[in-house]
Amino acid sequence: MIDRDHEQLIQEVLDGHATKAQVERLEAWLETSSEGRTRKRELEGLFQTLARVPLAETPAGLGADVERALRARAGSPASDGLVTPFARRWFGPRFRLAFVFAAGIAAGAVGLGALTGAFPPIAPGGEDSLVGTMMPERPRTGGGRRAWQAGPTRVEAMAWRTGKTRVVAVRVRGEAPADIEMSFDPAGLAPGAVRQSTPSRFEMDRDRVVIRGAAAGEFTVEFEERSGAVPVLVAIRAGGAAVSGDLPSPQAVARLR
Amino acid sequence: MAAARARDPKAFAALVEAYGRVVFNLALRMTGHHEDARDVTQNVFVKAYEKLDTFDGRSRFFSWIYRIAINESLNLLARRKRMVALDEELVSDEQSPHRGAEAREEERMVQAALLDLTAEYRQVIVLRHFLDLSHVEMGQVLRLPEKTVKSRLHTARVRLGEALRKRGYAPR
Repeated sequence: MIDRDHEQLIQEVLDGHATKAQVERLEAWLETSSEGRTRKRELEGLFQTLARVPLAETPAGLGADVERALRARAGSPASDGLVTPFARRWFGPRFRLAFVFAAGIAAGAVGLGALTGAFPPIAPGGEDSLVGTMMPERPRTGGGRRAWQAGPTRVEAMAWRTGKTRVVAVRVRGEAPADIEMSFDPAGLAPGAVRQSTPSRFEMDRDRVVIRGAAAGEFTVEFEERSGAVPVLVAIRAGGAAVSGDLPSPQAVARLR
Repeated sequence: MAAARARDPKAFAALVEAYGRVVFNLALRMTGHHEDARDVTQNVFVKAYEKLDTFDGRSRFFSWIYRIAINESLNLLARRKRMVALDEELVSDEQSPHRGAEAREEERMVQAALLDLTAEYRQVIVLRHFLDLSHVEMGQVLRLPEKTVKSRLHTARVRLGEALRKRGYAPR
């Protein structure tokens, strides 16, 4: 174990911030200290290891996502471009406070409705859709999560369980609309409801749910879970590309932890 | 920059283009999760757009936006603390599929060790070794004296080395 002063001296030199005098002092010390030479080699290894980690690529569609988020926050139509100063004045603090207050009341009413059954989810074959953000930040209890890239479209999915209900939330990002098919063993899962932030056509059978032409947005599918271990197989077609994979059951995820 | 502050959409899009990758990498190393990093990056630019008026131009733009990125990452990590962590292994790894298994394993190990550090140590490692900022620039981002930055960085490297060794990895 070398002292803090020499540890800092080695790091200064490796960092390229040392003065000529510091470099000479280190060299002189290293000639007499095998422990110091070992420590210098360790730190060189650490610097090199960190240097080998590459920069990740910018996620596809980031710019478009930012633009969309700004539009959504401004509440302006898609053709308006980014938020304008006028829009910023209109969406000033008092308006936002009122909006948040109203949104809170609405969310409370919807939550109460969902709990009491006053606002039932969309039944199979139903045409109505709820509009809003449904993608949760994270499942509160064990959950599985996957992401796929089909051409220019990215699809993220996560599954978690609430009581006997398995919820699968899907987020679609990118310009090309996607056909998303979820298939499953009907002995283990029974589809119950689909909620969509942007309306698109969906088909529901006993062993599959298909969303046709899903635009950028989010949707959730609720299943009655008869067997906890059944995965959902997801197949995505977008922009001429096709990918597929499985979304593990929350139970399977919990076992792996 | 002036055009972006005047809410010119093209100028702001150019800022996203110019800083998107670095901000994303900062968020990725701070959070350790690709999708979280993407969300953080998006939030950073939304906040930057909304707060461009408060950027006084005396400091450099990168230090301003990196500071927002660090704060957003820390906010996300604080929220995540209250939740059950997902098994990161289950997230499909689509990053750099052409890289060798050994390089990917090394990167995974480094990321795991980074997450073992406290946020204050992790952020100095990220700024110095992944964003290549000087001590002075780091001080501007973190609003800390250079001396404090250096001291924190020294300790962070010691801790990172220990975290790697605990995971059975010897830096080479």
